[in-house]
Amino acid sequence: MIPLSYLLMLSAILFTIGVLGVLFKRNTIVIFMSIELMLNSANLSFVAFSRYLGNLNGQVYVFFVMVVAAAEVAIGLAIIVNMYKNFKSISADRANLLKW
Amino acid sequence: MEMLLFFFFAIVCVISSLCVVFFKNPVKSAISLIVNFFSMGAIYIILNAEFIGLMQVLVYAGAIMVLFLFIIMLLDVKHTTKERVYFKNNLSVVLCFCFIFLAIIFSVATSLYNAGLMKGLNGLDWMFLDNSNTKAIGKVLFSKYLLPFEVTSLLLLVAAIGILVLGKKKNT
Amino acid sequence: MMKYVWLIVFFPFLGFLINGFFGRHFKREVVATIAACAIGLAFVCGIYTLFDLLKLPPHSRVVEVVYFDWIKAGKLSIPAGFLIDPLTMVMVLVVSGVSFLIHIYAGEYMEEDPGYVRFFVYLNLFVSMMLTLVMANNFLLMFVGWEGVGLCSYLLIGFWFEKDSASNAGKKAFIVNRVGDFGFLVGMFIIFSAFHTLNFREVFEKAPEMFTVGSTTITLATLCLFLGATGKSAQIPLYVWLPDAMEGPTPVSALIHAATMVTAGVYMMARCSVLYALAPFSLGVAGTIGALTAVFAASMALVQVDMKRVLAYSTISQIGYMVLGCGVGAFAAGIFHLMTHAFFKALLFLGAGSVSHALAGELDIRKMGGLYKKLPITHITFLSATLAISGIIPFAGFFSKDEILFETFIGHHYILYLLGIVGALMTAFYMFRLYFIAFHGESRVDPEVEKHIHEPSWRMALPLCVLGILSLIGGWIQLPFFHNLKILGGFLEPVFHHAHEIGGMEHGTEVGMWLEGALMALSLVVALMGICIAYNFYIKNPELPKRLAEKFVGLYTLLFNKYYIDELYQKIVVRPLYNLSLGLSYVVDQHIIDAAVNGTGKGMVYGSSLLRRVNTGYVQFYGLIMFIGAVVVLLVNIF
Repeated sequence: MIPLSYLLMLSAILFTIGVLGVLFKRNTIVIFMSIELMLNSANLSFVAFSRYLGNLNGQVYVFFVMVVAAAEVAIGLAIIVNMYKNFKSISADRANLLKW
Repeated sequence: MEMLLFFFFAIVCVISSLCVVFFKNPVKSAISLIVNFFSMGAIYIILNAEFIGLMQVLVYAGAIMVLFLFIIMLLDVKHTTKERVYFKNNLSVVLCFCFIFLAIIFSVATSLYNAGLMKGLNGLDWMFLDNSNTKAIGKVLFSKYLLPFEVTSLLLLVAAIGILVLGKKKNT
Repeated sequence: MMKYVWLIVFFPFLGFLINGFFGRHFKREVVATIAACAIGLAFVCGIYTLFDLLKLPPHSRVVEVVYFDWIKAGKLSIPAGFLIDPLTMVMVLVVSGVSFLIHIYAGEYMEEDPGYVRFFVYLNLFVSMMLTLVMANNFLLMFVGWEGVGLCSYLLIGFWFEKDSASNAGKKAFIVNRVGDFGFLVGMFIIFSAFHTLNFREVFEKAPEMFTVGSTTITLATLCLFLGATGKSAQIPLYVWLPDAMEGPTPVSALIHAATMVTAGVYMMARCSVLYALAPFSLGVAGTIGALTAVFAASMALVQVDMKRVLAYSTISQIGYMVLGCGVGAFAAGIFHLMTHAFFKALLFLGAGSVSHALAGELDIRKMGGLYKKLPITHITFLSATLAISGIIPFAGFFSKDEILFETFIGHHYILYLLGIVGALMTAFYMFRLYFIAFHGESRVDPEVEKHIHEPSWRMALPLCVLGILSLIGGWIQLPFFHNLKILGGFLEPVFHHAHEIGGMEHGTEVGMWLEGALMALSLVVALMGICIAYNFYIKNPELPKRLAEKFVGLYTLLFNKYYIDELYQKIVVRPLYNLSLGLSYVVDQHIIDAAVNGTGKGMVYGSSLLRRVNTGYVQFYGLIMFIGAVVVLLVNIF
C-alpha cells in the first residue's frame, strides 16, 4: 500500500515545478504546458484521496478536470495563435500593454 | 513490488517535469511533458484507477500534447536569448515561497498520515463490488453526476465555437 | 379680521412676486398700479384690523395670532405669528399709508428710468418686510423683517448701481447696519438665555418677575438692542450711512430713510418698553445719545448745500428726538413724533423730488431760487412741512416735539432738555434756510433749465397735497393740556402701561397746566427765533452768511466736512479691517487652506505614482503575486 502522504508529496512537488515553469519561462506555450503540469498534479491528488477514502467522487472530479483542461488548452492555443498574429512573437514579455 | 514501481514512476515524473521547465527548446519541453503524462498514467493504474489512467493517456498525452506540438510547429518560434526585462532577480524570492509551500504540504501530509486517518485499505469496496473501475465510474457518472456531465458537453460546444471565432481570418 | 392679518404682509409680498416674475411683460402703468394697489390693500386691511381691535375693551387690546411652529430645536421653540396691539396698528397704518402715497408718487417720478419694474419690485418687498417687522410676535421674526428692510435698503440705495457712488453708498449702508445687527443679535441671545423664549408676550410678562430694576442682564440686553437701534435709526455712532444713502432715488429716500426703515429702531425700543423700564441705565444712554445726535446732526445740516443732504441730517436729528422721547420713558410721545415725522419728512423729500424733477435733476440749492412763483403746489406743501418740522402751532410737529420736550423736562433731565431746545432752534433755522434759499430770492437757476420748469402732474401732486394736509392736522390727535384730548396717548396707554408702572412714571401726575403752557410757549418762541434768524440771513441780508463763514472759517469747514467723522471711521475701522483681511487671505487662505487642499491632491498623485508600479503588465508577475497570496492563505490557515 502506498502511503497517502507520499502521493500528496509527489503532487506538491509536481505543482511547485509547474509554478516555477509558469513564473520563469518566456515562451507562452511552455508556460501553458506548465499549467497543464499543475492541473495534473491536482488530478493526482484527487485520485489519491479517492483511493484512500474508498469514494469515487475524486475520480469523477478528475474526469471533469480533464474535460475542462482539454477545452481550455484548445482555446488557449487559439489565443496564442492570435497573439502571434498580432505581435509576431510569443514571448510573455511582449504582452505588457497593461503596463502603467 | 508496488512501492518499487511507484517510486520508479514517481522519479520519472519529477525528472520529466524538471525537463519541461529547464529545456530551452519548446519541442523538447513538449516531449518531456508527454513522458510525464505517461508516467502519471502508470501511477494511476498502480492506484487501481484504470479508467482515469487510460483517459490520461488518451486525452492528455494523445490529444492535448499533439495539439501543443501542432501549435509549436505552426508558430515559427525563435529562441529568444535577450536579457529579461523583468523578473531577473526574483529567483530567490520564488524559491523561498516554493519551499514554504512544500513545507506546508509535507507537514500536512505527514500529520495526516501520523494521525492514522489514511492508512491502508479502508473502503476499497468499489473495487470489490464492481470489479471494474470503468463500470463503477460509469455508474456514478450517469446517476449522481448526470447534470455536470451534460453541462460539460455544453462547455465543449462553447469551446469549439470559441475556437472557431478566434481562428477566423478577418476578411474585412 | 384678526385671523386674516397675514394679508397685511401678504399683499405687498404678492405684489413683489407678481412684478418680480411678470413685470417685464406688463406696461409701465400696470406695474405701478399693481404695486400701489398691493400697498393700498394692505392699508385697507390695516383699517379693518383697527376697527376689530377697537371693538375690544381698552385694557385687553392685545391679540396674538400664531400661524405655525417655525423653529423647534431642543429648548428653542418659536411659533411664528403676529402680535396686534395699538402700537402695531399705529405703525402698520403709518407705514402702509405713507407707502401708498409714495408708490403713487413714484409711478410718475421714475417714469423715464429703465429700471422701472425693478424699482417697484424692491419697494413692495421692502414694505412687506417692514410690515413683518412691526407685526412680529417674537424677536426672531422681527429680526427677519429687520434684515429684510436692510437688504431692500441696500438694493434701493444702490439702485443706479452703474454709478460708483451709489453702489458704494449701498454697501456702506448695509455694512454699517450689520454692526448694529450684531448688537441686536447679541441682545437676542442674552434675552433667550435669560428667558428661554423669544416671544414678546412671554418675555415681557416674565421680565418684571424675574429681574429687578437695574439688573445687569437686562441692562446688557437692552444696551445691545440699542446698538441695533443706532444702526438702523442712524444715531451716533452708526449714522454715517444715512447722508450717503441720498444717492438713491428720491421716493426711496422718502419712504425708507424718512418714514419707515429708520424708525424701526424707535419701534423696537417702544416694543421692548418693559425691558427698557427695567434698565434705567440703558434709558439714560438712549436719551443722551438721542439728544446729542439731535444737536450734532442739526449742526451739520446748517451748512449743507445739497437739498437732500439737509433733509438727511434733519432726519437723523429728528430721530434723535424720538430716541430722546423713548429714553426719558415717554414712549407714546416718541411714537407720536414718529408718526408726524413720517408725514412731514416724507413730504419734504417728495417736495425735493418734485423740485429736482422740475429742474431736470438739480439738487444744489445754490442753483435754485425764486421757485415759489413757478411751482406753487410744491411751494405750499413744502412750506407746510417746513412749518411742521420747525414746530409752529398748529402744525403737527409742534405737538409731537413739544410733548417730547415736556416729558424730558418733567422727568428732571434738564441738560437733555436744554440740548433739545437748542436742537429745536437749529432745526427751525436750517429748515427755513433751505426754504428761503430754494423758493425765494433771486433765481439762480440755470437759464436752460429755467425754460422747462413745470409743475408735476396729479400723480405727484396728489400725494404732496395729502401729506401737506396731514402735516397740518396730524398732530391734532394728541392735543395737550387735557387728558381727553390725548387720543393717541390714550390709545397707546395699555401698551406702555406696564413700563410706566415699573419706571414709576405713572402719569396721573398733576403737573400744573401753567408749566405745560410755559414750556409750550418757550418752544414756540425758540422756533420763531430760528425762523427770524433765517429770514435775516437769507432774505434781508444775504451777504451775512458769507461774512460769518469767512469769520469763523475753521468752524465752517468743520461743519461743512461733517466733522471729518467719515474719514475718522475710515482710518480707525475700515483700513485695519481691510489690511487684516488682506493678511488673512494671503496667509491663511492661500498658504494654509489652499495648500492643504492642493497638497492633498498632489499627495494623491504622488502616492498613486508610486502605487501604480504594481501594474507591470507582465502576467508572470501577477502569477507570482497570486502564488504568494495562496501560500500566505495556507499559512494563516495552518496557524
